[in-house]
Amino acid sequence: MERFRRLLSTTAVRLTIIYTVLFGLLALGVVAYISLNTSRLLQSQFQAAVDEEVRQISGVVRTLGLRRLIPTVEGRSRRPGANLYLVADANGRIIAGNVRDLDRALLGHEGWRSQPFEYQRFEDGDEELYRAIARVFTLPGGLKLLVGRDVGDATRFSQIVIQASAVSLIVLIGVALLLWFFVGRRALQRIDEVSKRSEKIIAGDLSQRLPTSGSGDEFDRLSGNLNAIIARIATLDAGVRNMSDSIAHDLKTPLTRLRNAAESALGAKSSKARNAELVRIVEGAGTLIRTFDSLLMISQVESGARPAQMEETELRSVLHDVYELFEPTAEESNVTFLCEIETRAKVHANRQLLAQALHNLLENAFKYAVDVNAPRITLSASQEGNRVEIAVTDNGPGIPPDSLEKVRERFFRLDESRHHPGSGLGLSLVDAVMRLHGGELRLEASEPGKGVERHETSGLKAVLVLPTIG
Amino acid sequence: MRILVVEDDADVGRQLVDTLQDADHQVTLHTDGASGLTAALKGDFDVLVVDRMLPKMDGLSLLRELRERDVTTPALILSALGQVDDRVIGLRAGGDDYLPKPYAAAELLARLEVLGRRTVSRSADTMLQVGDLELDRISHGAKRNGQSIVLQPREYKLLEYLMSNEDRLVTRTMLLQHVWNLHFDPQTNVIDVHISRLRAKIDKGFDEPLLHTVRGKGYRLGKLAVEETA
Repeated sequence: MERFRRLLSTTAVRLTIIYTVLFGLLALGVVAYISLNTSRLLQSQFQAAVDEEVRQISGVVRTLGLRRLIPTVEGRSRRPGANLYLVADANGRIIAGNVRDLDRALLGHEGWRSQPFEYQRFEDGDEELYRAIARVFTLPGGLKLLVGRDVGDATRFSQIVIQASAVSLIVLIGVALLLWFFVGRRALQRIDEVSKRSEKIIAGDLSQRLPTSGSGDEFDRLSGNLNAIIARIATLDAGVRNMSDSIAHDLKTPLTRLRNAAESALGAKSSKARNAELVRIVEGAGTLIRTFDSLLMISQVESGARPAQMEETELRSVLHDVYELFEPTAEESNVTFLCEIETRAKVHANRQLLAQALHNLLENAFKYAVDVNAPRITLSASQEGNRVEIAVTDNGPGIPPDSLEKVRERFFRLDESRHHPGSGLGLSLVDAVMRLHGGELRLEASEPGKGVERHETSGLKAVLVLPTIG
Repeated sequence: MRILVVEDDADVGRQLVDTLQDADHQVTLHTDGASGLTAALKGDFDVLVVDRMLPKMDGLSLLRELRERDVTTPALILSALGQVDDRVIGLRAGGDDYLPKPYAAAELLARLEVLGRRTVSRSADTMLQVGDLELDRISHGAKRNGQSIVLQPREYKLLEYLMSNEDRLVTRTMLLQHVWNLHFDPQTNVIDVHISRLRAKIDKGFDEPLLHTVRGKGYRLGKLAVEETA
């Protein structure tokens, strides 16, 4: 019963029902129209035939006199398949004809009686009532002549039409029901399969995929799209797991340090020592908060749930502002800091996010390049077709080739850089910002070929590729 | 200062009131947008602290309503999550500053100080003066004790911001925001280097330093180094 109720609620079945009802109504209309017109046609034919007979009989009476009336009527009455004939006198007594009895009142009305009336025939033992239409004509001498036609054939004819229509309607509904059953059941079967798999997926098995029949029909297309969504969810899910592992691991260390500082503060001998520990705690907590801020920022940028406001931005001015921000730092730490902007390109960007991405790249460059001899950092930009490439190039230690992709991951830090302060989130944010802008972050060695050997510096070139406007 | 706080979360509200009262401010707390608006329209406040999400009337609508009625009391918007564009949306609605939760108490106090004194701000003055340091807002030239100091454009902006907020704590984030128009938390010492450059120009060779570092918080420009109580 449940299954039947579900079958009833499928779209295919609903459509079938609607079509069946509509088609049935239409067929009924057509049948009604045909039978109505047919009976009208038959009636007018009957009337024409009756009129002709009345004309002939009255012609006979007029030319040959009343005495020929009875033989003529009797003669016609005896013909096979004869019409109805009746001659009555002024008192309504039947004189001749093949009608045994009828409602005498009919004879009082001259002219057509097209509503069928009942009469009895002159046949042995036949007490049946027949139905006919007739015309009454008054002859000289007050005699009434009635010529009529039995409508039994016509009635039978319309009965046949009605029966045929009923049969065809029943067949129609039967076929529709069958169609409904098969189409609906097929749809339901596939939906059931999809539901079954979905339940497994909902239960957490993201390796499951929805079944496809390979026919490329609408179900396949739908399943294909849903499968793509599931694959995307699986990727994101893996990312989230990976990240929560990293968070747990990477935030435990600073928290432990914080706790240790708090413990030393509690056990400090002098207020000066205690204050020093408290300062460490405040700074450590500040670092942790900033780490969380960065994490939040990355996930907000990545989710794109609320798109950042993008506007037409002149790249040159952003680059100049950021260059100018770092310029004193370069001077102080004896880094040769160059700015080579060879483009006036405009980009569709969020100035704040773009500036922060550049800030992060420069921050990294300064952090690692200052350790080498004659450190040198270049901020450059150039147009390449309909894209602009912004590069931060340094001659620092660089990143080993096998880690170039990994450094984008949240919290990933090279072993060599562990002694530098940092959260391991800087490049993740840059990567997220670039993807939000429809661009990409490319990392490569600034001195290709070098850096494969241990302790050899390869430098780093971080390139932001952005689509330009116009 | 007289501060109106509109915050529905009881804990956050209590903490805010404590922080502000500890800093010797008079605080009035309202817990929904509608009563907050009534209070802001009636009362005489130096600065408003408005949470974005409020019952009855949200913080942004409250500010829009206030500004429509020509109430110009400076307002700082607090929001639960520092969304990328929350700041822009908040400022557009009539806020004067924006701080994402959770915030550091020092940052909040510093920002409120700057906002609250804006009513008596010297933004119209053509000359700024702190002690014997003078800054000409038209020629962008600075002088200390009669000796002229040559400033780069950014140094001028930096000094102007510090001088218009004389004796007030200014955080690194505030500097990056007002001087560079960049709205993120600088996790590097880039700002410090700019400050030390400026300090070399205005303080070097003079007996009394004007530009003071407030440890762990930011900077303060003024005649006297006021010791911070954390």
